[in-house]
Amino acid sequence: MGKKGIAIPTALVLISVLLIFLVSMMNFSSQEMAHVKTFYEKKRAEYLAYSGLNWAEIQLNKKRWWVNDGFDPSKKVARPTGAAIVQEFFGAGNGKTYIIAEEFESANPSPVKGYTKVQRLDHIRVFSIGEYNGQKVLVYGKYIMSPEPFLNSDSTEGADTQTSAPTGEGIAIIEGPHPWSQDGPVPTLMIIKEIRAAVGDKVDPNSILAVVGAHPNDPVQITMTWDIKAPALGTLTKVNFTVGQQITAQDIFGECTDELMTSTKSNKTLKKMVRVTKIMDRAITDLDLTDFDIRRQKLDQYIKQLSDEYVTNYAKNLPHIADLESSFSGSPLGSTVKKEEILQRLSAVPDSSNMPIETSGNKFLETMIEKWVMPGLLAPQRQEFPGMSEYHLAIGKSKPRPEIIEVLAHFGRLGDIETRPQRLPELYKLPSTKAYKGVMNLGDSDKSTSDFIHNATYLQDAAKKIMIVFNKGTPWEDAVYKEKVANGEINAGDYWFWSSKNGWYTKPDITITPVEIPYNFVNKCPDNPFTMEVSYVLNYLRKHYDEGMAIPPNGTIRLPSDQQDTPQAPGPPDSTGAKYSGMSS
Amino acid sequence: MNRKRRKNNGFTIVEICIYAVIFAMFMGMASGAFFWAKKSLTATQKMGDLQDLRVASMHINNELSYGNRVLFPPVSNKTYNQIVFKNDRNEIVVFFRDENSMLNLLNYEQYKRNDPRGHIVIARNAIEFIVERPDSHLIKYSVRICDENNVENVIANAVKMRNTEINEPW
Repeated sequence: MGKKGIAIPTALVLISVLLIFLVSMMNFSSQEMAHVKTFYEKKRAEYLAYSGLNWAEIQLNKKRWWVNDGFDPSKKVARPTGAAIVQEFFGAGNGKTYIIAEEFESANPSPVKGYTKVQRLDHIRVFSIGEYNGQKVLVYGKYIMSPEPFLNSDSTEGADTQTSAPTGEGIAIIEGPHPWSQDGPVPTLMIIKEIRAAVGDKVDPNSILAVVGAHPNDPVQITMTWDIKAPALGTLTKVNFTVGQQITAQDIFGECTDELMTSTKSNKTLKKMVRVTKIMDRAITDLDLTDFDIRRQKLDQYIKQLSDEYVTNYAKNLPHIADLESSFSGSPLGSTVKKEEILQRLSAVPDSSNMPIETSGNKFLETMIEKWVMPGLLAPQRQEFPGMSEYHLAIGKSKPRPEIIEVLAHFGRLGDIETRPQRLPELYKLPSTKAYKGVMNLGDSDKSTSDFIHNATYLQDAAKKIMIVFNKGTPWEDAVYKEKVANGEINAGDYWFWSSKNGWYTKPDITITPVEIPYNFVNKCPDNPFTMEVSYVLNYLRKHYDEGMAIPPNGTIRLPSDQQDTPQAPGPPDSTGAKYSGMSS
Repeated sequence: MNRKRRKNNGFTIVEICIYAVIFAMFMGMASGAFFWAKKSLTATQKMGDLQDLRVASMHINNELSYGNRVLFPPVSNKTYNQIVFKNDRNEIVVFFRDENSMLNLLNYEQYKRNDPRGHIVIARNAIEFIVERPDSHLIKYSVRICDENNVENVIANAVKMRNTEINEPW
């Protein structure tokens, strides 16, 4: 009986062995499948996150998608300061992308022509979270713009591009008159009393093109007149008015060429999603980033730390980069290499930096202004761009009108109006970034970022503002003057003879003030000419690393009471607008 | 009694045949299982190696694609064996294969701070690491690894950097 039962135990043993192998194989296979599945899902989540960032950049190139109200300081409305949106780029049920965008206000906004105060947008912070079957990937990007748009707008176009000459390269718009009086109201409707220049005439910012006065139909009737002056050095190409026609401040008087391209502060807005970073720190990826308070409490500090490390390491490593490149390329290492050999090649690089953040940033700006390339160019244009940069002083060579010259000559002050560019004419137009860096001393980086950008943009003593005020007595014709002197009514020593006016005048107060003038970055890249004030280019580069000049929003909505944009009331004209004032440049 | 003893000690032809068939079937199944298991184990091993390669490639991809500037190799059609670049924080990072056939990631700044992330082995048994840089922001690379049975696996990839110092579109 016992021998007969051997078949069943044998079968059981064999079946057990078989099952063990089957279970083991299934286990191996399932682990492998799980690895591959996890890998696949992570990759898909990353694609979703990155797609979200691409989508946001495309939208932001057009406008801020969460607002529809344009800039209108007279009609302030509550505006969202950002948005959270969900997208399904791979189709319904195939993963989701959460895109969170948030506006950061400029802490140090540049003034905009026509506004006493204006809020501007520094950058937009974008987070994109890709989620696929439980896998989550977080990608961060910083959307920067320069010049900065109006904050209280839906636009991402620089505010200056909306107020500068719109007609194109090398053309300056001649605006209508902006009357002003310190004694009270001024007319809004004016009449052209005199036109002093014709199409084809050479003009400069001291040239008076026309004189206007109050129109008889305007309720404000005063005897003052106001000048319309050329905005730039060039040739008058268009005059839209004749003597006797009515004109308002909103009208365009005409156009002139702008030979130095100085009247346009910027003809483009530089826009780009920069600092694209995959955040893998669980302390951040596990947060609910749609929560405004969490973003303020946790993210601001984290992003600031990322940016600080970015710029500190940049400046620390900068002096060693060329050596590292030549060291590795000059004598390439073999197919295997010891860690010690790698460390030996890197040994000149400091471990850490104690350079202040602002100094590091200034070094970044100094280097990048030579290397940067405008976004949106084709490959051949990108290569040519850095070598085609010129720097034009935003004022042409000009001298005050003859009356002022006569007064200054009489009182021996002509030498005082000489400017730095008049002594060194090459300063009007510097042919390369290298030359510019030398003139503007960009190597001096030990200062605050705002000072660095200001000093790197403005040429000191680039022009002289001249103010001559006659307010100490009545001028007399020669015969009357002599009679009054003979009678002892006036003191001859208080008067001087102004030959071109053929009269005796009291001694005027003469004030001559040096003026700083900005440089424009000009790049005549084929098919894509580009002009922008240097400060805007530097601010564009600054935004790559700097979080310090931006203010996070107070809440998810910006109330009308938080919006401070204030149009400029008509004010005193600039120094060139008064009767005996002028500019030497 | 005699009849009973004879019955206990003997096997009929049919019984022997049935035992033989059953034994043959079990032996066949067992040897098949052994053969299949061995083959599956090899396949699983191979898939494990591929997974190691994928993870190594993911490491390179994650670091390089968000980097700012490649320092080595130079732009050319030649091939090299290391990558030196600045990552998203402008730290200097090197990928290299050492004398023990390990593919390494060295983050110089983190290594100097004694941060364990400063030096990571991202692949073992790497018998080849080849790198090429056809343009300034594009890196092509391949990693070849070899298992105990001298079976080689290779992964190749190309990475375009998403951030560049000079704002070139990628």
